[in-house]
Amino acid sequence: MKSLKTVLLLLFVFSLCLPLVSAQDSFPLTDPATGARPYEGRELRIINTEVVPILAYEHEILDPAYEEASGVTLIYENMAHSDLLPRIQTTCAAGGDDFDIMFVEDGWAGALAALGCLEELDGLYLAAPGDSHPEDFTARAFGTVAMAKEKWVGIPTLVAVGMFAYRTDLFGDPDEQAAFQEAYGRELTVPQTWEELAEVGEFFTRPEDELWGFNYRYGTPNNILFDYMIHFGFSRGVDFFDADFNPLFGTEAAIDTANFFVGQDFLALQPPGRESYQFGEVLQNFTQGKVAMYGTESWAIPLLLDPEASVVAEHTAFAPIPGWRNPETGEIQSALLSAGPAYMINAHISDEQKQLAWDYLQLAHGKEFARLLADQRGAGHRVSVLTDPDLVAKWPHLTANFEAMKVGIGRPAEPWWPEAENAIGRALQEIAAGGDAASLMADANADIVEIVEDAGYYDEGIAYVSVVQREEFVCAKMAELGLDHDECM
Amino acid sequence: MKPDVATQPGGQSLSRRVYSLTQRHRHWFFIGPALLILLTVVIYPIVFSTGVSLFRVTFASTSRPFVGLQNFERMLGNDDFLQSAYNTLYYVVFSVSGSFLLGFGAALLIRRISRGRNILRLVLIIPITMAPIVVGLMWNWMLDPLFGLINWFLGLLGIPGQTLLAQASTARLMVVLVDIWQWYPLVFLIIEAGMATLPRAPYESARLEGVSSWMIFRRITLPLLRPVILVALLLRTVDAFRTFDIVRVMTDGGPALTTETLSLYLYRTAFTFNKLSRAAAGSILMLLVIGLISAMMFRFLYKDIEVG
Amino acid sequence: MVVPVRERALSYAILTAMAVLVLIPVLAGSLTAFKPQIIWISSPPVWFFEPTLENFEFVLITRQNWLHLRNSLIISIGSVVIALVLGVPAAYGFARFRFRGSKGLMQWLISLRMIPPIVVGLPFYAMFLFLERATGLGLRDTHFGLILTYQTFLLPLVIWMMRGYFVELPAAMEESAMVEGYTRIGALRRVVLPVVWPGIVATALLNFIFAWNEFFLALILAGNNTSTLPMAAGTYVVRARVEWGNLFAVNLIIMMPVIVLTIFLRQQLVKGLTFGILE
Repeated sequence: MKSLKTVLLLLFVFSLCLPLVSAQDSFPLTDPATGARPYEGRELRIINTEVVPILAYEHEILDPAYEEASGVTLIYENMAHSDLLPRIQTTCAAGGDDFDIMFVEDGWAGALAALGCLEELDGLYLAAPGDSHPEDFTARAFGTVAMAKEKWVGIPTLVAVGMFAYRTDLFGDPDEQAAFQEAYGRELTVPQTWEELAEVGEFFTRPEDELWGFNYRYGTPNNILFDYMIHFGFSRGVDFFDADFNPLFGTEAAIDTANFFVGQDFLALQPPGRESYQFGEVLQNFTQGKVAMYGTESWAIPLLLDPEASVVAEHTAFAPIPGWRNPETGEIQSALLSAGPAYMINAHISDEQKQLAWDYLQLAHGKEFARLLADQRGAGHRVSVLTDPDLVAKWPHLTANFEAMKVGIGRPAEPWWPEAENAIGRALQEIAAGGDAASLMADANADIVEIVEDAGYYDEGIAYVSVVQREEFVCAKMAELGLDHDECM
Repeated sequence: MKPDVATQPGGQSLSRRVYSLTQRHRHWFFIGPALLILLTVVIYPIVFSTGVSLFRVTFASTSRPFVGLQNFERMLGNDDFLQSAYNTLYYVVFSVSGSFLLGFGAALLIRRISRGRNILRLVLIIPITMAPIVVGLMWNWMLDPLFGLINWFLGLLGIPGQTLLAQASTARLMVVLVDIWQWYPLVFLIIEAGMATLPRAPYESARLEGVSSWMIFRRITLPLLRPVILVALLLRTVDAFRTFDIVRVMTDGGPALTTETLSLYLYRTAFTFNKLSRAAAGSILMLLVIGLISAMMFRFLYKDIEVG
Repeated sequence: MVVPVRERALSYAILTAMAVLVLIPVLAGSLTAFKPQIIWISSPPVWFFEPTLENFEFVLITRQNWLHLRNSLIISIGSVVIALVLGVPAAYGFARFRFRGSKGLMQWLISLRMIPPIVVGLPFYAMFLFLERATGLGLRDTHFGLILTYQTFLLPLVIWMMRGYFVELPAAMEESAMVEGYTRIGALRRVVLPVVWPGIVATALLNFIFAWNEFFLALILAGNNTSTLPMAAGTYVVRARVEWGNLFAVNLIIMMPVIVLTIFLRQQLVKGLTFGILE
């Protein structure tokens, strides 16, 4: 009996090691031609935030394999996400070389580029392209996540796409379907429009059973603005700025959206405490079975499907996020987003260290790893992965993610964006606390004008970089690097 | 310093003068090193901040024009700054008075019991020993509207779930309560230590004269404890004034800015929004206010105590 | 003091209630550190389960928080030692010598405790950088750099607390020793220090607690090599999810040393807390 247990245990341990072994095989040595390990014994320092499930995966599988293959030691400095920008910004301003690679969210690249601490990757790429394949991203995603305006500065670690997670056990329950049919006179389906979302949400909101309709993030200015824009605003035609950098948060569409998204009716369909929820609590409510559906991002998929982390993992499925039905055309417009962090190289480190950093990026975050990641955790952000028939068969939501990444809109990447984001997020929070949407949005809009003015933008005539322009930047960069990109024909 | 130098004849010899000089200034030998370090680590930052506050400096800027008091003006005209100043005042008033009343009460009570006094005191001390960030996170967990122990307990009593940290109307109070939870034991400890040193004689004579215990408390205990009370109040005021950790992890200033403190706001302004000069101006303003408050408290304190 | 029975019972009741209010969150939270992931948080709470150490293993080994533990130990102990080495003589100086401005200086010292850390954090960063560029002396992201900055709040406290202990001692003590042929330093070492030893222990403990729990300066100034435990706690919250089990595991690791020290040094702590103001 005891020996059987031992054998089983050994088998279990062995099975754990399997992905490691296969991952190792997939990494060529640093110089495939000679098998040399030029960086052996060196250290690579990465400043990171640890909380994203995909990155946890990176540590489990990818990093040991890279260390084994290259002889390099990886050293992580992990920080709470909210403390990361202050830390990186301070070090950059000081010209510090405390880390070689940094985790940079798309909204921050502008501020860091202005500090001159983002290394342009062109030279490193041309000298040793490796497995990096910058053309293997959609133009929108690459332009938002990996570039600072026309400069190429990063390799995306992940691209977040707005998604809708829902409980199949509730939506598929015949009793629920019948009850819904009776109450609303239509079939119970995963909502496709805002109105349907509100209806279905109302239907499932049963506080006495500790069940609510859905959950969004209202907890911090950054979060609330994020969900406001990606799940609702964009679909209604709200944008951040016009071409001259005039903010557009006082428009009718923006106020309408605010009235809906942070209106008391909509809030009432969410679990108590919603005004303070950030991503963690929202996710927690879903994984503990307290909500029927919720707006999430693609990178949370591994966690939502992990039975050790979610009591409803078996009953979780994904759908595109609901949109707004344009009254004139009758079409459903969805609000989409391509955003996320990239790994960027610190410009203040030595040239040898930059090469080492590039070596890690192109190997560890190249095509090969992306495939591995998608295969095992269902999250992908490279075109080659999102369109791979085998992977799509295994993870059907990848197709929807691909579509989203082709048209998604990213946040502005200006140095003052964090402050502007804060101003508008604050207004949204005040509306959630019962404030008047029209006047608060107008005030916030005026605040942003002041922030932009303060940064000298109106005087210097700097124009807003639209998503279309970002695509143009990407195409120009690809041409410069001698690469063909599918969307740049 | 050799004692025999002093015994040398010839009162005004060079060595004699040197000796008397070193004798007169020997305190610097003890105080000097500490003072030197303090000048570097405290004065320099203040001078630096004052300097930065008069210019327009951001992390990214290469030109750094002198702007005089403009940063101060902008700060004082900024709604968020004023709101966080108001919040900070709220913290100071309620957290200090709350922790003081509770701590004082506990100190009075613990003198009425003998058995178990040590173990009770030990338990009450625990919150002071915890890092504020830990305390904040722990209470976040306790107060979670769906999973927290508090709502679970209220549920058992048939009271519907409360969302105390999420409501703009209650969040500030909750943070203050948690702050009080952590720091009333400090007041308790200080006051209790003070009570242990009170002389017995005035009490005995008062009791012989049949004075009521309330009057004893008011006329004897309170005046005698005045210096200790002021120390406790001073420490609490200062700590409440610079609250950062606990708010950072509990609400991060939300919802809708109702819990943002000055420290948090200035941290954000400097390090996230990249407005170094404005943050420096704000911190100088903050320093002036706390300097004023503590100077006032000192005047009360030094009436009773001779220092130096 | 004779206390009526009813009054005593009431005192017991209220104090016990206070103690319970302290213990419930601390104990219930700590329990979570031993829970497996799926019941980290649940409604209703799970009270009985098979305890696991996997959270501790995860934080210490997988996320390498043993490094943070090491940093915290080095920085806290180091900064307390330096504060004592500089502060004890200074306290003695203030207690024994009256000189012009000594009173004002003492007031200034205690007022240093009032400085909000936001005022010092940023200039320190700039100062370290300047030093590094000008002299090649690297203080950024070093243990010593943080130890130095911690002196802003430790040193004044040490001087204030220790001064109280020195004042309590009759000056005749070292004077008689000096008559016997000791120098002042000798008298200080052989005669005075052994007597104020408990005061030094209390001062060290209280300062250790402040340094150990410090968050703000570390947030701004610590880096890869110096990140402390309270910062590690922060990495289990915000953004993606709250890893309650891991978080409380770190919390316990932060709390335990201080609580153990407090149990052993309780008497000195109580005495030390009045800052020698009650002479």
